[in-house]
Amino acid sequence: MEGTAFSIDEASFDASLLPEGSRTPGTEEFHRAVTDYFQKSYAGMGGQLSVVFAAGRIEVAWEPAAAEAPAMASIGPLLQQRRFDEARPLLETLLQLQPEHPEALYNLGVLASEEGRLEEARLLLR
Amino acid sequence: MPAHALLPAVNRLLKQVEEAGGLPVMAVQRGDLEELATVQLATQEDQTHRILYRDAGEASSYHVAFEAALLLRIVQVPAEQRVILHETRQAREKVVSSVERMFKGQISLAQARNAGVQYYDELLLRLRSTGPGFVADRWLVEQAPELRGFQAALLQSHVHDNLFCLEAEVERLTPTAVLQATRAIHAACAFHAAELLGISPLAIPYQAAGLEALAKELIAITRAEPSTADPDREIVDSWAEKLGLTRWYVWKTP
Repeated sequence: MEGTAFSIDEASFDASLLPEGSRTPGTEEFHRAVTDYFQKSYAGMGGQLSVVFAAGRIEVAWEPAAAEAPAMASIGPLLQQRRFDEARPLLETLLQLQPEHPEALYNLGVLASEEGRLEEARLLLR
Repeated sequence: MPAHALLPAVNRLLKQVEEAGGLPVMAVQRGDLEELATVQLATQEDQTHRILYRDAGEASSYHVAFEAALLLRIVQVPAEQRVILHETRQAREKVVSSVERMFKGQISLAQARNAGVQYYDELLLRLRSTGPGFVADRWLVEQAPELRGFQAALLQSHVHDNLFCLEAEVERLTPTAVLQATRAIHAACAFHAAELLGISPLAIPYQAAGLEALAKELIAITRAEPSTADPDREIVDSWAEKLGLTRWYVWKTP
């Protein structure tokens, strides 16, 4: 699921979702219970949640956890052992996540060159 | 750039529609189309149903498949009983007057009229297409599982795009009757997608906004066993009742 952001009126929040005693919009108890509701609702999704109360509205934003880039430290040994088929997808993933990653560009360029794809190598190494 | 070939699943679905309706069905790519895909029904003069679609890469297969699912529902209604949803002048003028009142002195009467007509048309389109669309979605899951990835992407993107309707600015700019019905329909879309895709957080914003019960009632209507030869009309009429829109349209023969 991609990230999401929305806002609703405190007054239109479905109070039946909150524990009794925390259903009055604008109160601290209400804000705490609403925050708790959203935290529980998105708990299974990981990522980062933000719940902000401003001018009578509840602003909610949820972002999925950033995809983790494979570390160059784990790719280096594969390249040294000439395990290119295993290294290539990791380099490509790294490049998708960090398009200007210099080592990924360099190593993919070298791989392309070794495999005779000279035009691709030229583009990657320029 | 050449258009992507439609996936084999699409031809399979088109064949099913042909068999059910007894007329040929063609998928025709059209670069000038405003929507992603639409159905052009056969006429007396031209005895072929057409699904027109805009090239959207591989996703075009899903767009055509979805229209095929809707077309299948249309051709299954006996020809003499087929009806089309039409606007009513009275309802449209009511929306226009609301907009005029809301923005008196801020925008011209012509602008208010344009906005009012647009609000009315959009809501009517949603009312006509959303409920039957749910049935089509569920049918496609069974009939063309290979298109599920496209379906998931499209449903999620609709839910995402619809979230603006909860914003305060939209509340300020939209006549209440239109806003409430639109939010309820969007809530139904979110719960429908959450259920179909197994991603319950898609519905959280609408649950928080107190729209869960109504959304689920609307979805239940699309699951009910039809009692007439025109299930789509039944769905639209039942939704209209729930949403307070019964006087907003009439059914007419084509």
